[in-house]
Amino acid sequence: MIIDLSRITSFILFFLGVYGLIARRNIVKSIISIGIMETGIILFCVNINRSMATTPPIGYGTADPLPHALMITAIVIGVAITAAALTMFIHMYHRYGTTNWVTAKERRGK
Amino acid sequence: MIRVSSFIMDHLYILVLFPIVMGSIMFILPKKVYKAYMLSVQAIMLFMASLLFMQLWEGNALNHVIRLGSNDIHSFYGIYMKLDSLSVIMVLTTVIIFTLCVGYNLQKTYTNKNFLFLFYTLQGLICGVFMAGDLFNIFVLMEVSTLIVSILIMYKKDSRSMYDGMMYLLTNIVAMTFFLFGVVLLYERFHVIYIVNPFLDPMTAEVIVDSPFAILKDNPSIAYLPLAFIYTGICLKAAIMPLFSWLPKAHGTPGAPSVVSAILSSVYVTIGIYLFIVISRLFSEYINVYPFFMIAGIITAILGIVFALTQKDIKLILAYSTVSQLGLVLFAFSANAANDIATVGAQYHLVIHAIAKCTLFLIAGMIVDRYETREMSKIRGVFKSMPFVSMAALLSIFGLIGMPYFGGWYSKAMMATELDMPLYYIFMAINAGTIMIFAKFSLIFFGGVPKTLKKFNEPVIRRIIVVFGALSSLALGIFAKSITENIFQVNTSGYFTAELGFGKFAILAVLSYLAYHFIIAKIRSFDKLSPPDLGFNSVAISIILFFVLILGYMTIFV
Repeated sequence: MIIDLSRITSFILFFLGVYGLIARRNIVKSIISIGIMETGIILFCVNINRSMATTPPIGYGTADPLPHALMITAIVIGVAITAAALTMFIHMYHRYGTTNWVTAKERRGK
Repeated sequence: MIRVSSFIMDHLYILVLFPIVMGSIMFILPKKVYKAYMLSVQAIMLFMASLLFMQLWEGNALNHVIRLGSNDIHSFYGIYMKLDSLSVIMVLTTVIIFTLCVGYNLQKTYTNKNFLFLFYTLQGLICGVFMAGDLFNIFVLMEVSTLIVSILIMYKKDSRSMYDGMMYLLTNIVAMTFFLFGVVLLYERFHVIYIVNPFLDPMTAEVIVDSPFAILKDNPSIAYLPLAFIYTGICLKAAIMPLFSWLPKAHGTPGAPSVVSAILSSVYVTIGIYLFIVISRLFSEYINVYPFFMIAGIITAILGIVFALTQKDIKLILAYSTVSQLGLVLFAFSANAANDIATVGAQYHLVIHAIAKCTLFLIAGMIVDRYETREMSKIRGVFKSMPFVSMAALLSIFGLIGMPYFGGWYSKAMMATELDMPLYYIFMAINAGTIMIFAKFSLIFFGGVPKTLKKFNEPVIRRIIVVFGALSSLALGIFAKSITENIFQVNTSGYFTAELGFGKFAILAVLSYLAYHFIIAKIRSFDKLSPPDLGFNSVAISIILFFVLILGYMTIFV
């Protein structure tokens, strides 16, 4: 039961992130949506093969440690990407003066 | 020498870590030793890549897999690295192209230690993707290289490049997020993230454990959702048709140094097709998506040609021709996936396209520097003002369009093996379109030199580099038979002359050239066919549409 709930939640989070990418014109909201998508993936992955009886994979835990290890790397990559994207956004804001994708495309010109 | 070769074969990660470490050491070196340092690092990388190539040439370790850590199957780090024919030749091509670009940039002012650190790291990462043995490592390497490429695109801080770099970064991150979700779903269902076959004992090639994908035989629908996510990510990287709009902006943006555009268009896009080949081969026995990708390849190739013919910017026309060549490779690979010769032809075409396109982008950079404009209508008379460079450009163009005895002829002949009738005509039509693109490109060579052209001589090193690149296209054609036999292990004897003869090529070339000049160049409304300028939200919609399309295809037809 808990596994199905976590799986459903992670799919909902992932597709909420995709909705945010499609429907929001603010650049910062796009970056946030990517973060939400990654959170969904991480939630899904740490719940692989888990039941109420499994303990966390530290020391003599019984859960499968591989997904947890991979997700630590994925979290770090997510942090780095968010940092880089926000820095680029700050530069872009100083250059174009807007946080809107459509206005930025118009100001980029041809 | 043999001991060095076997050392490198057993420690493949050296090719990944060495450029990164050497790039970081550069921060503590004084500025005067930069040139010597750059050249020596590249020389060592070339040496190592050539050793790997020679090992495979002699037939040692065709499917070479190493385990990082120890060789004991129960206590190693869990990371595999592998070599097979396509990996080795792409690693060598990558190192050669990076060497050409480093030489091209030897005297540029923006080649400071930051740029070179990023550049060398990119080299290590791209070599790592070709040698990685499991999907999660591929994800990590691709994310880091996406970040580095987006910084390099914006390096000259031109206004337009800010938008282009941001768009590139976010669209590629979204694609890799889809890829990661697919990998995670695949792990959940099969408990496997390896793309090598670790279930074979490397010493005796006996099966240790049955392949975990065998349950797909009875129930293939388990893998539909993960594969849909993975293919969506891969197809954005490979610039397949609904998902290509990031490529021309990234490759042709004004703020990107020429070497960055050259690397992107030659080597980096090959990673997308390489991943497609790897994933399809892993699942092809159970899930056959080749018809879908055959049609996607045809659409990509034809639309790439149409969009290229409407461009006015010299680098954008090359970027769109990259899109169309990738579509051609995808089409040829998927149409004939069971035929060894056709698949090898498609892979060999990737190599030829990489070298020729890199040379053409470097030449375009030299022309833009000299003429100080990127618009093709203002660039005329390149034959008279830059003769060496025009010769090199002509040789590279011949290599791409398939002039006999150049590389493209062999690869296109191999790709056309056993194509049934309607597909054969489509293939020829795509070739004709490629010739038309370069007919438009070669307009810059003729005509009179503009009077405002300033007189300076390009650095000799740059002329040497582009001529070397052009001669490589020729060499790839002359040695095509021996390369395909020794590296890809296919026997192509006795059939080359039958497929794509001189006569057919000559007729095709002349007809396409005349068709371009007398028909297409005269149609004024042709410019209305220029590609739509998609915003970020539209790109996100196209990604999710492609995902739904491929999931629907797999559910209904497979």
